[in-house]
Formats: sequence, structure tokens, C-alpha cells
Amino acid sequence: MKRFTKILAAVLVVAFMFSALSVGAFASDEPRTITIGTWWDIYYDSTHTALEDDPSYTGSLSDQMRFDVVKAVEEKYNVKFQYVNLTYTGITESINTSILAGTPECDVYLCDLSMGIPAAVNGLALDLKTVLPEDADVLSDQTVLNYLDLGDGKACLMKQVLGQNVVEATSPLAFNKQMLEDNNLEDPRDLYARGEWTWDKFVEYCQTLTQDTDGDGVIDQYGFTGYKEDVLSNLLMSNGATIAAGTEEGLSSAATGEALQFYYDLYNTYNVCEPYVEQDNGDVMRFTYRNGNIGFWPSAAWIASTNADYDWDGSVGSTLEFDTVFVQWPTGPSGDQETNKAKLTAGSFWFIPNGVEDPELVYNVFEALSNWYNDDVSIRDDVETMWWWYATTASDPDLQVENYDVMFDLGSREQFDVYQSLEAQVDGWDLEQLIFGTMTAAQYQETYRQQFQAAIDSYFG
Amino acid sequence: MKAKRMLALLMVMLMCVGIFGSAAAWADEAPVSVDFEDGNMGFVSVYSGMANADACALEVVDYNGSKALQITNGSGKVPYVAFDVVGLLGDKAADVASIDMTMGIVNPDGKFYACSGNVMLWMDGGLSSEKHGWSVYLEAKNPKSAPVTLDPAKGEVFSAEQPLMIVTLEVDNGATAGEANAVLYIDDIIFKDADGNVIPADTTASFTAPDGFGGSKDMSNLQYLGADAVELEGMAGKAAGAWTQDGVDMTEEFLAALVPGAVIEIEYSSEAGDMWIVMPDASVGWSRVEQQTAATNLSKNICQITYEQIAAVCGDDVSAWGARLQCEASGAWEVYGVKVGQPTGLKNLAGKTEIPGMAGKAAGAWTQDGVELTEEQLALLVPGSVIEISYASETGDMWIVMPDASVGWSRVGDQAPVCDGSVAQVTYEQIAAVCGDDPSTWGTRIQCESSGAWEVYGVSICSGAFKSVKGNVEIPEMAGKAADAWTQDGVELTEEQLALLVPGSVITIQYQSDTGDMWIVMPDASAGWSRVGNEAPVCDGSMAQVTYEQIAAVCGDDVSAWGTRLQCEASGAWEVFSVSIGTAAE
Repeated sequence: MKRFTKILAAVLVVAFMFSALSVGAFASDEPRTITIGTWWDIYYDSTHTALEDDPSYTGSLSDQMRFDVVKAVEEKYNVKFQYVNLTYTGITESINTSILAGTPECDVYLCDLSMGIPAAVNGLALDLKTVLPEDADVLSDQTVLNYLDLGDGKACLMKQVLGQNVVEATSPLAFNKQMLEDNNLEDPRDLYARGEWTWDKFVEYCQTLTQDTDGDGVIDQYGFTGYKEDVLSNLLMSNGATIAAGTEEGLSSAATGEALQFYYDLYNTYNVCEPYVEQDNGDVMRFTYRNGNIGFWPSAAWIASTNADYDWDGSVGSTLEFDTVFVQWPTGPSGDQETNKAKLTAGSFWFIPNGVEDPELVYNVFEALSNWYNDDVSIRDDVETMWWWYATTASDPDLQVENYDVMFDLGSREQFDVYQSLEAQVDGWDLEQLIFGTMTAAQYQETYRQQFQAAIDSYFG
Repeated sequence: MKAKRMLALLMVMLMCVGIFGSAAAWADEAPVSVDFEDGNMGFVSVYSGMANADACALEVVDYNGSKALQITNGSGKVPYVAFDVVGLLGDKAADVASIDMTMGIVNPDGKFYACSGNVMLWMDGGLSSEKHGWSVYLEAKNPKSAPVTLDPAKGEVFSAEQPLMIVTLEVDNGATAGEANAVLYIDDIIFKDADGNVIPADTTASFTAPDGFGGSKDMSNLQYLGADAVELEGMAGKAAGAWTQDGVDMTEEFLAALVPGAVIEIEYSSEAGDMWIVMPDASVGWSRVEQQTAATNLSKNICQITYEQIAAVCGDDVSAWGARLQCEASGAWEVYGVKVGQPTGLKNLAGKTEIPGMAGKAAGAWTQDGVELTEEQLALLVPGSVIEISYASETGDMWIVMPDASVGWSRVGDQAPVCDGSVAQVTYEQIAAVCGDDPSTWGTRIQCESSGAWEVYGVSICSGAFKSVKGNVEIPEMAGKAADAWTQDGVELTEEQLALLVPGSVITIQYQSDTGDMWIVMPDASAGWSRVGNEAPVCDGSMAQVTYEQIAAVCGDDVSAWGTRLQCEASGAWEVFSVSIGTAAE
């Protein structure tokens, strides 16, 4: 190693002497290369010369536009750019070492929440509000890029706006249209439109729907059911509550306490819920609505498609005799229909690291690349791509559109809260303690508060 | 412009300062524990106990101006390279608080592709779940340092039971892009104690494998031969190109063992993965036997051909087979050993549950010792289950005794015991044949016994036996699929792949999962989204099998109603290394 080190040092001296003498190069108009670090291969960039360089090229219009935007961006901003697959471990290491050293190896990083949150919290990711004009897309219209609001007033983690990105992972409240009609209950969507869709009204509806329909003395129709994780996240958001949305735990907050108490009361005070199957991992309680004896339940496009509720691919025919209608979750006492969040943040993000030269240029290039569809959303979210999201939740075309619109509305209001990722670190945490009434809401908060804080401390580093 | 010139000159000055600083460092280069300059690498070994483990080649070579350990991928799988840290550092191994290594990558095509992997300890007889990632992700930083800080709170302390550090190369962007696998170089390993002191190493140390390291040969799809199997001298080391034969004359001892029921077992490597034999001097003429159809393990490095398969080609009279036995494959090949013997009847078992308290039991000939089974253990004794005993005995045999059975004190498995001198198996059905069909009448005590003095190293109740499968066709798109617990991922099957799903077919999955289990999901079945094989999964932590009949029981008999999508799932985070469809050999 020693001899090599000496040779390397000599080469470095020569190289730097040469570069110092080549000061004329500083004056040249050589295009800057923007490096975008990823952990999977992304097409296209300045290194690609043909459409076929993308192995998944299909000849579609969107392929052509993604290829053409490269040249347009190069010319407009006098740059070259390159996606570099660093591997997942490599991108983590690059973020944690090179940015910290003040010499970021990439101008833009792809990240997931486990990398991005610590980078944002610890100042490795650039707050775009400090370098961009107020009318930059990500800070204003957000038609091409939006950002993850961590509640600290900063805009560090960007996400490309895509129809699929918005509607995926949404969990609307679903109801059995015919059951509500049979019980002369007004469409909850109308109540929501008037701002009257509240927890109180929801309980009223559930109490009406919980019935002994065959008169044998046993309740056989229920106002509500749902898998515990799906329910709690939505009750929290509908009450403006979070548990792990920042460096301080929110489990002990009053708003969270109200959500936990409401969950407890649905099962133990109002008694409007279908009996819960112990230790279900979601396989059972997510799907009992299909029996037709449930008024409301947390749904999702993937849940509806799991058993082909409405024949999304035309192969099996609709398997339900009632219509599923999506509506926003009712608003809790500490919530606000106008400001409530409605979808837990997930997925991957992008950020520009602190220390990058001319970050506004980097942002402009990245925004231009992301807008390969030239603001034509119909190309970006073309019908063929999005069709499944419509067809999977209903048979009636009008209802398909209405359900999609609810999903899109929910997906447009993301809540950053990583509590579900931390639950495994909280010994004993089990929402069934509330469902089965073995612990009150206050006991639940007190029992797990400190453990959650410790988990949050570890997560945010 | 002036500012730029000033900046340039400033940079030169800074570099000069840096270089002189480095020069000072040359005179006092930081010590390392292992620099490979002496060429020693006896303390390193390839670990092959994982289903995705690569049989990589290790060598100390010149790299980047000095000697380094070169790790060359052999089959496109994941290299697991183990360093005997206790052997290197002795008692000081327990003081290791941090490790640093220089890692470098060379891609055969001369380009650079990022690579990454993990560093972990050997714990509890296997790889630790605590992993420290390393990466070489930029050409400008190749080679680079890979620092690891151990966490004693998570058990990361080297000891006699945890003597190894294992380095893997798991993500190879070049290979993913269809290029040849990267060659990995490791150099300048530094073990430091908590005070930052470098711990010196004895690089003359030899690798000592801890319990479980060697694992066992991959005997998937194969029969276990008895310890008295006869090696064919002169075959080890034979090698030839594709469709070219080489071999030796069979010895008298070998021919004497080549009798009805016997099995010829060949350990080999071949570019195409296949291997068969040729009998060039057979009376019926030059004859290939089991060309590309021989029973082969999933690792494609052991195959077996039966006496009956040879007889089907060359006739029943062994004397008419000719004396010469050759090997052949459709790719370049090498043979490491050929033997013939009688199968013991031992099976590859799945779902092992150890019975604590049995390990260490020992007694004289015809003397019993054992334990009371708990209710949970008794509940595992269901049709299809098998009791497996790891043991040693003077006479080589081993069976069990059920002393409290309602039918009276009962020996089970003593008649024609299924054992090979180190492993014995007794099936539920054997017990039922002696003690009756109702397990509640078997008593709760289980004992071991042998005709010679014996000692037991472990007893397990296994949920069932893997099927031997022939004609495995891999679904290449499944390799590398991974997901979190209770999350599915998979592929659309082609028409050709769907056509393989016929009665008697078996889907074999090589995998790892945090919880050890694995099954399949048929998301688009007409019967609805369906899990298959999740009830009492037939798996052992690295291999799982799901049969056609299991799928049919959930999704119906009509394959066209199963949907075309096949997914994998486990109750813990999982990764699949290969999925193949074949036909049960039995």
C-alpha cells in the first residue's frame, strides 16, 4: 500500500498543478453535470442515446416524452445530468458522510422516510424555502412537485405529483349504500359537503344500523367494523392528532386521547361494532364487510380488488350485491374538516442536499425533468394507467368517479406520522386492549408514552 | 477572473498542505490487523449454509498496489466470506469494538457498477440478524473504507461461540444489468478495542468452523446413502468440456456395491448444472444414462442415478455394462467424487421443533433414556410428522421407546431402523403401527435406545418431509423478490410455466425470512385472493415446498381458475432466491 500511496500523491500533485494552470477552464461555458443519486435504475438521462436504452421501453408517447425532455433540459439550463445507482446502502452512506462533510456527492438524492427524515431533521437536506422564490412550483401550485410537511415550516423532501402517487395508500371510509338507503339515512357525502359529518353523527348512524334483523334476540347487523391499524390512523387524522410526527411523542396529547377514547367507546360504550377477531393480522377484519351486514368500514382500492368486489378486470363478475361508496372520515371534536390530514405519508422522496452549488438551478432542472409531460396531466395520468383505480371500487361508472375523487381528496392531504413503523419497538402495544376494554384510553396513553418517545428519539437520530 | 485564479492557487496550496500531511503519515502509517502481505488466508472460509450462497473462489492476489483477498463469484449467487476472528485475535477477540476494512470492486467489463453487502457476526449457530452495510458506490471512491461499530447490547461480541465475522456481497449493479459479477477485494482489516487500539492478529491461524457452519450437503431431491457407500477411486478431479466424457474403470469393490436398489451419487460442478453418466463399453452399445434427467439437488452440485435406471438402458446383467463408467454434462464440468451405496431411507425434513432436554442423553447398549413431552410437543405428533434424532452409537443404530403407551412398553423403529449412524428418523405412522392410531394413548414419555452404547445430540419433531422433485424449471423473474412481513410479491406466470402445474407437481422456493416460514399467494384466483401452504408450511428456513394438490385444495381443481399471478409471502420480512416448478419423484 505504501508505494501506491506515494504514487497516488504524486499524481494528485501533478493533476492539481495542471488544473490550477488551466484556469482558463473556469471561464469556459462547459455544461455542469447534475448528479442524481438513486438505488434503482432510472431512465432517461444525458448518458442515454436511444429510446431502447430503457429496457422497459414500450414505444408509448410517455416514453418518447421522457426521452425528449432530456435534450430540452440540457439546452435550456446548459447542463448534463445523470442518474447514478448507488445501491440502497450506498445512498445511505453517501447521505450520512458526504453531506455531513460539506461536499455532497450528489446534487439530488432519492430517499425513503428512514433516510429522508433524519436528513431533514439534522440539516442535511436543503430547506427549499431558503433558496427558491415563493412562486416555485413546489412552494406554490404543486402541480409538478410537492413537499412533505414535517411541521417545522421547512420544505426539504420533495415528491413528484402523479395521480397514482396521490390515490395509492388512501383509506377512505366506505359504506354500504343500500343499507343506508334502507334505513332512510342521508348520504354521508352530503353531510360532509355541508360540514356536518362528525363523530357524533357517525355514532348516530352506527347506532341506527346496529340491529337484530331476524328478531332472534342477537345483533346480526353492525354499524362499523375494521382492521385495528386502519381504524386508528384515520381516527387520529380526523381529530387532528398524531403520535410520531416529530421529535416529541403525541400519544399523550389530548387529541390523541380523544381518538383512543372514541375507538374504545365504539366497541365498549356504543356497542356498534362487529365482534373483533382476536389477533387478526388484517386477513379477517378487513373483509367481513363483504358479508353485507356492516354499515361502515375502512376500505382501500386494494381491499376492494382483493376479492374482486366489482369485477375490475371483467373476469369474474361483481361479487357483491351492494354498492360500496367512499366518503371522507367524520371530523372529531379536535379536528377541522378544512385542515384535517387524511393519508399517512409513505413512499420515496427526493431532496437537494445542503452544500450543493447553485441549488436553485438544481431544483429547476429537477422540476423540468419531473414535468416531462409538459403540464399535460392527461398524459402523465393517462386513462390506461389509472383505469384500475376507477374500476376496482364500483360497478356504476358514476360511482367509480365519485369514489376516485374521494381517494384523490384524501391523498392530497398527507400526514407525516411514523407511529406505525415504531409500534414494533413498543413492548405490549396492542390496540385490542382498547377494543376488548382491558385498558382505558388514559391507561393506554400512560402505559406506552415513554416507550414511544424512546422509539421516536431513536428514529429521528 | 482574478477571483477564479486566486481560488485555483488556493486549491493548489491546500493540496500541497494535504500531501505533505500525507507524507508525514507515510512515515507513521496506521497499523492494521490483517494486510494479507504475507499471503496467508487460512483464517478465511466460504460459508455455504445459505440457500443463496455462492461457491466463490478465494485467493490472495496483487490489488491496488498491495496484496489483498480476492473474492471471485462462482455462480452468480451471494458470496458469504467468513473470517475466524477468534483464531486471528485469540482472547483479544472479545475486546473488538470496531472493525474497518478496505473494500474494492473490479468489474470484468472494465466499467464501474456500485456494489453493497453486509458485515455480520456468527450467532446462535447461524448468521446474526444484526447487519452492518458496506458499499462501494462511486468509481472515484473505489476502493474505500467500510467501518463497522459493534453493538455489545445486541450481542455483537466475539467469543468461542461467536468466533466469526462474515462479509457478503449482496447487491451487484453490474450483475443486475446483465454483466458479469463484480470481483470483490478486501484489504487492511483493522480490529480495534473500545479505546481505539489496533489489535494485532496472528495471520497464521487456521479457520475453525463452529457448530453448524459446515451445515450439511444440500440433499434436496436426493436420497441419503449409508456410511458404507463405496467411493470410485480416480474419479475425483475428472473434468471435460461440454458433451465430452471422462471416467475410470469401476473397481471390484464399487461393482460389488452396484446391486439392485443401489444409487450412484456424483458430486460435481457443471456450467449447465446437469450431469449424467455414460457406459461406453456396455454390451448394448455406448450408452448415456439419465441424460439431463438425473435427480439433482437444488444447488445443482450433486446428482444421483439408480441401479434400476442403468439397468433400464444397459440391461439387468451388470457384467454386460462394461467396466468403464464416465461422466458427462451439457456444459464444461468437473467431478469431485463418485460413490455408490444403498439409500438409508432418511428424508429431508421440514418444520423442525427441537425437544429440549434430549441433547446429552446417553446410555449403554439396550438401555433407554428420555424426557416427558409437553402438551405443545405432543400436539406436533400428527400424521406425516417425523421424529429426527441426531446421535452416535457404537453399533450405528438408533430408535425410540414409548415406555408408557397404553399397549405397553414399546420399541418403535428398531425393526429396519432408518438411520445412517448419525441421524435416525421415526415417523408418526411407525409409532401408530405399534402404539395405535390415537396419540393420546402413546404416553407422554419418549426415550432413545440403541443396540450399542449411545449418545444423543438432539431430537426434533418435524412437521413433514420435503418431496424429492425432478425436472425443476426455474421461474427466473422470481429471484430477488423481497417484501416485508405479510406482504406479497411475485410475477405473472407464462403459459409454459402454467403448463407445468399438473397433478403431482411441486413448487420449490429457496428463500430466507425473518420468521423462517414461506408460502405462496394466488391473488387472482377465481376463488378469491388465496394463501396456499401457510397452514403448517413445509419449510425449513431456506427451502419451502407447495404442491399442486395444496393449491387445488384452496383454489379448486381447474388450473385455469387459479389466475396467472404467483406471489410469495411470509410472516416476517422475506427474500426469495429462486422458485422452480418440478414433479414429485416419488
